[in-house]
Amino acid sequence: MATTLYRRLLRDALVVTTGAAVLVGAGMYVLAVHETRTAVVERLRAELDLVADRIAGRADDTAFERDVRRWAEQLGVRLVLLDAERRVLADSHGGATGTILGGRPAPELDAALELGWGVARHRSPSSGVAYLFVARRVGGESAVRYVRAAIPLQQVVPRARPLAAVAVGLGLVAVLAMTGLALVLLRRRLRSFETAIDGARALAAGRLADPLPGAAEARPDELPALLERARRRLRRRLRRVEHRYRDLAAVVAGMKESLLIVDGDRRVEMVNQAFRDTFRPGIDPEGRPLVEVLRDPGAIAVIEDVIERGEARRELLRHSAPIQRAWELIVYPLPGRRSGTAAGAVALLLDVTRLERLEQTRRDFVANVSHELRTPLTSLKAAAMTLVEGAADDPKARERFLTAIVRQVDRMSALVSDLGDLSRIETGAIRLTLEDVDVRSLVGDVVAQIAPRRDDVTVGVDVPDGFAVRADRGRLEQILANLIDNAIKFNRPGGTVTVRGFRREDGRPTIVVEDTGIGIAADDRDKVFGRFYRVDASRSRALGGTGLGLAIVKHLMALHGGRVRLESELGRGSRFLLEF
Amino acid sequence: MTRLERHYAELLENVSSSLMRMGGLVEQAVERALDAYARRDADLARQVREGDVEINRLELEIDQLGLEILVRFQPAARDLRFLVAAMQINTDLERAGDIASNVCKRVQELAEEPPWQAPIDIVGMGRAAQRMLHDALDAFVAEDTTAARAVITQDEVIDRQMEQAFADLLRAMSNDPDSVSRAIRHSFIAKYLERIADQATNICELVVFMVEGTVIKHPRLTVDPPAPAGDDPAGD
Repeated sequence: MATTLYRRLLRDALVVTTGAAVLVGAGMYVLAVHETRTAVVERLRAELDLVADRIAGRADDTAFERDVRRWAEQLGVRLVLLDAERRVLADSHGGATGTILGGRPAPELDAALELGWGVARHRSPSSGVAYLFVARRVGGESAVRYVRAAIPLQQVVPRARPLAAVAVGLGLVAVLAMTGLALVLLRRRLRSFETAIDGARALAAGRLADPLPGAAEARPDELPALLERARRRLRRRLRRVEHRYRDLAAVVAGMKESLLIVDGDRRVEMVNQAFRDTFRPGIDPEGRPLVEVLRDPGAIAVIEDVIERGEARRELLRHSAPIQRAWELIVYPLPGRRSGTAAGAVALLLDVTRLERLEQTRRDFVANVSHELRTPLTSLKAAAMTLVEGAADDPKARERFLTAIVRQVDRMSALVSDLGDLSRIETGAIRLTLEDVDVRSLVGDVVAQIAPRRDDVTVGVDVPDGFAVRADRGRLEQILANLIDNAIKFNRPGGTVTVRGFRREDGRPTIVVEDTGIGIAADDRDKVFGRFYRVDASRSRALGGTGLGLAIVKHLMALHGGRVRLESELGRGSRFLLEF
Repeated sequence: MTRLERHYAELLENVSSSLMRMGGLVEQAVERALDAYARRDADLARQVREGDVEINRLELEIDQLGLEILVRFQPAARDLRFLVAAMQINTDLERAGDIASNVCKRVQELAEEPPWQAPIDIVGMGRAAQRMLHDALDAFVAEDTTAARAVITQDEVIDRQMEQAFADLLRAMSNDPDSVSRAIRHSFIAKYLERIADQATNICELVVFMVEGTVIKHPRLTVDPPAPAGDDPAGD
């Protein structure tokens, strides 16, 4: 497992041990030099003792020249014999006899005078070479002489080199060996760190699912074990958060209302499934600017206002066709970091189209009923007043006003009867008695009843013999009467009405009532089945319609499990299809 | 992304956002113009015309932004096509907004006259044009060329509806001379609505250009590649 950490430690260890080895080597070298010098000094002392013995017995100072030279040669040093005044008596290397050393410092001689022998290092004044001097006093107090050996330091130090080399080498080997040993030992320790680092890496990468490797073997206070504890705790917390998030997401996904979350930059953060289903954006809204997703200036203005001012708002947005929907938009600000600002907004879009429509229908209905009742009532009152005020005496006028009264009363009772029918259908109070109704004969009856009302419109019946529909006879008659009546009333002069019957591909019956009237605009096509809706109100009233006929037709068809459909072309005519 | 690149991306997105903001307003103007027509609501018509100011303001803003990007960043390839398309769509939308205002002007005039059962289905036509505009803007946002091409095919339907409307109005005028002034206003409105559908078609063609880099308007014309230099155009 030569990981980075181990390599790093190895490098550091090498730097340290190399440093140590260099220091130890230098120390060893100094020590070796010192030891060598001491050994040289010891040897010279012993030899100078011998020389001193030889000299001690002789008084003739001048005869030493040859001896000194021989001894020096044997010892490999420079030998000098000096008298008490430190005058040179003999010099193995041919220095002038009689020279006095007195003025120059010679600590080895000072020491020799006092202790019997002395050692010093200094440079020779004549040659400038550094020497090791060893001096010996010869003789007692009266006849003091000195013998001094000098050996160049250059000759002493090289002798120490092999020793130093061995010392440094041994030192190095020892240091390296110890380092190696330490590393081997450390390696085992390091393994624990390595696992800890791998664990930390797994944590950093967010791999929280599996236990960290090596944590089980580690002691509880070691890093891997501590990290493992951190992992478990993190995982538990994360799970809790995830669960909560999942619950919330389920709530949001299950909501029927469309939900939209916008951030402070007016970017869509999230939408729920209902939003996607309802608004069918061609793009994935998340991450896109709000205006690209919603585009409705009204909604955008409200949401932006909430983000800017941080106050919730509730607004009704109405759209006419082709969207034809009403929305209640509820927007809450998401709290921002500073108070008074919003970090975004949560928008709820509730489809209140049905509610709005129902409410509108109810309002319209009340207004319509009162209007529809007031009109005949006004006429009634006017006619009655005229009669009271004397018209009753004039037979002609009486006849006219009484007829008017009867007509208005008929109209009111038709209205009340239609209203009653509608209400009974809606409350489910009407029970159908289903039987196989022969459509041809039924249509014949209805046409015979209604057609005479206008003689400039031709009614044609094109229903096959034995074409039967399973329906409630009375109600089917009511449906046909309504449609045929309309087709005749709203036809152009010389127009035609055709009633046809056929079976669709799946064998189910369809009855069609077709006219050649003015037609109905696309926008009105759905509305004509609403209560009191009239394409041309004044004309309808003049023709005695209650405005409820088609509503009744629609409801009765629904009661039969079928439906009524309208196809129309402006200026050409309309076609009502009764599909059972 | 460097700071400059981020700024550039932000500016491009601003163009598209402002364009959609404007698109929303134009859609709303068309919707309201039709509502005003259906309800003979002169007041609503006036409001729509007043709202055109905001559309014009956005047009200028987008224009400036587009030019700024062109000059400062000199975009290439797809970004350039996007920008060129966006700036043209900008003009188309502004035109559509103007046309909605024109519809409203006629509605205001019609409101002064007695009600008339027009033999044509203005609202139906208008809703179709409105739907086209809506789908065109959706196609732009989604960069959906299939949707864009689907809108383009709708244009012909509206063209035919308009021709039919003219014929019907002409007949109504000859039958009932009293209706002439109202019929003429209706024919104007029909023409306006057809023009809105045209603008939607233009937008869709630009969407195709933006995404695919192909020009699909004027399908009967093909653009010849530029002649090599040195050729004598007259010599043969």
